[in-house]
Amino acid sequence: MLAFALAVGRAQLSTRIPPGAAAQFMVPQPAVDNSPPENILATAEFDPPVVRPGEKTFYRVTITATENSIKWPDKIPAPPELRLGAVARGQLTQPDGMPFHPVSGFVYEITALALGHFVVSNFVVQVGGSSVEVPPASVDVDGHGVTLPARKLSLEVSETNLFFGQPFRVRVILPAAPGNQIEALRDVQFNGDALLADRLATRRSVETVNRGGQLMPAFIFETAATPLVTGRLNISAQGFTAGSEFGGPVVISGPVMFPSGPPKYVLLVSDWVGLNVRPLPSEGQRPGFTGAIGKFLADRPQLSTNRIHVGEPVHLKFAFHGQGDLTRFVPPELPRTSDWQVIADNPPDNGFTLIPLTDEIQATPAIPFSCFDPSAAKYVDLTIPSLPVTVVGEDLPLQLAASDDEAGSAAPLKLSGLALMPGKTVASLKPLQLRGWFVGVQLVPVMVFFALWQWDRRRRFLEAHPEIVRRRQARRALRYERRQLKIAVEAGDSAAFVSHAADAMRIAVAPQYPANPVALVGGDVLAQFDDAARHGPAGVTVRKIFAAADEQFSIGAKGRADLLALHFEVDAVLLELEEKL
Amino acid sequence: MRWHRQILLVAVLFGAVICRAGTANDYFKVGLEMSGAGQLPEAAMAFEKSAQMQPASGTLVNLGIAEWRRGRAGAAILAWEKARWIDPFDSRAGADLKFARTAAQVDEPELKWFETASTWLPPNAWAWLAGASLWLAVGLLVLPGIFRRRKAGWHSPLAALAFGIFLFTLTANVGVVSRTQIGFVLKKNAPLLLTPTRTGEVISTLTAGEPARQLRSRGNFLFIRTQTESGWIGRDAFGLVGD
Amino acid sequence: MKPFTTIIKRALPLLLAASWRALAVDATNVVPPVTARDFYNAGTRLLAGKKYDDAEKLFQSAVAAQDEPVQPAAVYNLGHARFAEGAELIKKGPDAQKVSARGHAASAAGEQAIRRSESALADNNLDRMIAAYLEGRGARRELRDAEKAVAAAMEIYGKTLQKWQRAADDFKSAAELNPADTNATQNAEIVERDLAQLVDSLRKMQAMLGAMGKQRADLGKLLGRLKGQIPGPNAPPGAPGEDGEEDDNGKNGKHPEDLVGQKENASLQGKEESPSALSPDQAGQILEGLSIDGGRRLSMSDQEGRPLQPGKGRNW
Repeated sequence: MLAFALAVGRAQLSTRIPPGAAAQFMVPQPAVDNSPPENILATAEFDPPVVRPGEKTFYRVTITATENSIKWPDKIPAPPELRLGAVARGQLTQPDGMPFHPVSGFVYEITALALGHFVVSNFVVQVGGSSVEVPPASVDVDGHGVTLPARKLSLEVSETNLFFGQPFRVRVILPAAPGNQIEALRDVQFNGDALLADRLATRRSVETVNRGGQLMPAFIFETAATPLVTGRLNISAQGFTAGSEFGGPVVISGPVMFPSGPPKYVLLVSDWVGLNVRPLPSEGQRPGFTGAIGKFLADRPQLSTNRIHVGEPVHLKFAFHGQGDLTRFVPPELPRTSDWQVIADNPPDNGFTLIPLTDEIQATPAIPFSCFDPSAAKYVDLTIPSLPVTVVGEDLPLQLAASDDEAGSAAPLKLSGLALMPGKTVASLKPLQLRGWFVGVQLVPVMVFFALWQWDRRRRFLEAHPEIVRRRQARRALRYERRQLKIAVEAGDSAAFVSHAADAMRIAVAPQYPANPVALVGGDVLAQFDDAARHGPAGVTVRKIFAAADEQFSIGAKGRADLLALHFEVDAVLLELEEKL
Repeated sequence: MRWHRQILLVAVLFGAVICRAGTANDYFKVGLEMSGAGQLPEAAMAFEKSAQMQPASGTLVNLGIAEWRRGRAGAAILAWEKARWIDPFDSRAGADLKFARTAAQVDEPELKWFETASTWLPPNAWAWLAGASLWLAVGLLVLPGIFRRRKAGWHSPLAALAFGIFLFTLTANVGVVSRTQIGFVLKKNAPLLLTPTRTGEVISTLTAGEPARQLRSRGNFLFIRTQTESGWIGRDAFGLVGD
Repeated sequence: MKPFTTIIKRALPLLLAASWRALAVDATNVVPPVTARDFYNAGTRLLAGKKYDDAEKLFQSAVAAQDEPVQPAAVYNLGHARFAEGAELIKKGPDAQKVSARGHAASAAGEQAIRRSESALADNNLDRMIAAYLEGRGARRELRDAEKAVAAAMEIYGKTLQKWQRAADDFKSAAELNPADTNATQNAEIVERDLAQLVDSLRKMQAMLGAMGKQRADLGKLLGRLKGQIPGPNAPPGAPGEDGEEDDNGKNGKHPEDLVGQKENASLQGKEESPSALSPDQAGQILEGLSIDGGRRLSMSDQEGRPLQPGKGRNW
């Protein structure tokens, strides 16, 4: 099988099926000749009629009736030395004015297993309810004779390893007959599971091909096909030879000869070709994949203008080209966006008309698109990028005509001029009433007033209870005297000790009377003790201190150092007196 | 040494305020230049940045003018309303609003009586006035007794006056808070939806600059009430004055 | 006396309100709905009773009441009501298969008439021209009638399209209001698929209409030429004005620009998609796919007093 390459780098704008091309399918077919059975002819032959053992030959039966009306038997009376392959069948509508005459062909690929002369005898087939006899045909299997090769078609495919949905090119080749006579092929069809042939991508040509090292002209029927299942796929081709009835335009290269006379319609078949169809990978699929398979490149999109008003349409044109079938190229889908109204161009044009719906737009929407590159086995992003645009809002008037001023002179007729200074500023447009800290600030005077009120209350209370003040003052003065006592003891100053001790005792008992401490004497201090304490150590200590204090006032008095030893007793007395405060 | 630290802190804060003001002023100047050059989108962006950094009545007036000149009536009306919010005595904003509403055929928002009263002074002034009047009244009544001063003849009348001012400012403050829910439609033909969803049924379309009150919100939608109907609108299509 | 007067003053308004409500009860003892929940419950009852128009109005009122707990379920059922309304329109509308077949038959007759006319003009045979003229006139009448039938079908489909578009948006809204409601999302997808099929059908009908219109125009021109060739005495009888161009603008229910942005079924890659007029079989298959068969029932929120709980509804 010859593999062939497509024209590399053929720049081809994406083409869509033009309406005219599709119109040919709308033409209704003329009526088919349904002649009575006596006009139905059946012929049978072996091609070639002479073969060597092990070589192939084709057993062909041609019947001038529609294929559907023929009930072909499951088995034909072939001798066991001839191994039969599967039957290929086809129908040709033979143009012969109006109406059309059908010709149906049945072909078996036969392998001769033994030498000899073998006959496939006549047999009857049912055609439209009537019996038609197929005449006998014979083949000679000769080990020595010169044999001619069987006429058959060649099937070539551009790819045998495909992905699901990947279009590929198929060429059906009918080499020239002896004498370099070219015959057309008609009603070419492909046999195989789930294969879709694209009739609109068909090309007929007569070219020179290399067959077994020999260059010869051949009729080539070329089309595009797409596998519709995954897995192992076997395809073959068949077609009717049709003389010079090409049935459409044909490109002829080089000198050729066409057979003269009426065409002989013979059903030819090709060998089976295997294809391996893999599913498209699901991982890595990019957004905007519409089924394009091939190596494509995107041209830079073009915008008709980049400055538009709201509601004004702008055209976005895009184009793709590259290796791959663009006949069935499905362009990107309409992008869904709330800012734009998008209208797709009618085929074969490629583009979108975009209408901006708001003036906040700054760019056209990116249009997701991707293709699958079978050679790299991965998806390629071909997203049409967004292009910057400036959308101008509606034209608002900058001044009003005098008649527009409905309220007389209430409304100004034009806008004011620009302010040259920022003017009054605020920290934020959010009012203070909604800010937490302002509410918090209002609590400050509350707290202040509360504090003042508490202070006034305290003051009044103390005014009503002066003894509390006196006692507090006495405690404070007592603490001071005790500190002085401690200093006097540490300094060994007995005079100061006695003086401060006496003062401390007077201060401690002054609030009880109440009286000025200076006016109190030892007896006043003793009066604060009960009888037992008065005559006990506390009383003795008090008398000693006050006696010593009185002596200090006399002239020539000397300090008594032994009184310093009384500081513990003096502390005890002062503690007892303080507890009474 | 403690007072040294306090002075330093105040100086740093003041410097930050001055720096911030300096940048806002720069954007203001850029906006003026762009407006003069006819680069309206850029001018609007500059004024908007300046207003975001330091809201000012003049900046917002200029923003409104730039938006109006580039065809965005809703955004212009909102900017002028914000300028009037900051400074009710700014006659330019008021005049531009009257002009715009006449040209765009949209109505003023309907204000209740206490909201109308709240427009006589800037919103923050009412807040300070309320606080000052209240505490003045309380102080006049309470402090003489606390400090054992004889109440003068003017204490009580002044306290009564202050309290009266406070009561009035209460209604004005309520009006200020209520007015923060007033907004304006920003987009032309903004859809008013029945439900707060992207695919909600469209009740009607609103004109840019049309006033409405926000009643509540849900997700990216606000429930608003115009003078004739109510429904949901996208957040990007509606702007509040006090925002 | 004074307490008695006070009691009367306070009780009277309540008594009046209760009596108004009692008077408002209709013969079926149903109190007219007041709250969102009332509207929703009433709408659900009507939806179950297949009164889709009234149910739609009640659900709309329930949604408009902006009651947050009720709104998602009300929007969901509103989608149901609208979808059912659209399906009813298709059911009650003209039989799409018949309309399609009629269109194709008229188209075939028109094609034949055009060929006969062209052949007669080429042969310059008077008898054949008269026969072709008569045939052409009949075929043109047939085309006109078929166009009207297709236009009527398209109008119905257009109304259904609007209902289903709204229904799909309602389901999407319900899903957005209550993300836990997977039923709403599924229903939206189903309605969108049906919408895509409907749009396909509409486009095909539109193409058929356009083709028939063109055919009628071509036939009209040929008839004009034939008439010019036929001498006066041999002219066949006919109603006056019948030969004139009938320029009916065909008030289709849907205009091409209305279909802009509608998502068609994406064509399978490599599959041949012929833009030609539909064969009756093809049209029948497509339109058959839109009919609601008995095996697929729409789930409805039929629990009174409580909005549909998300996730507990039956799958569509």
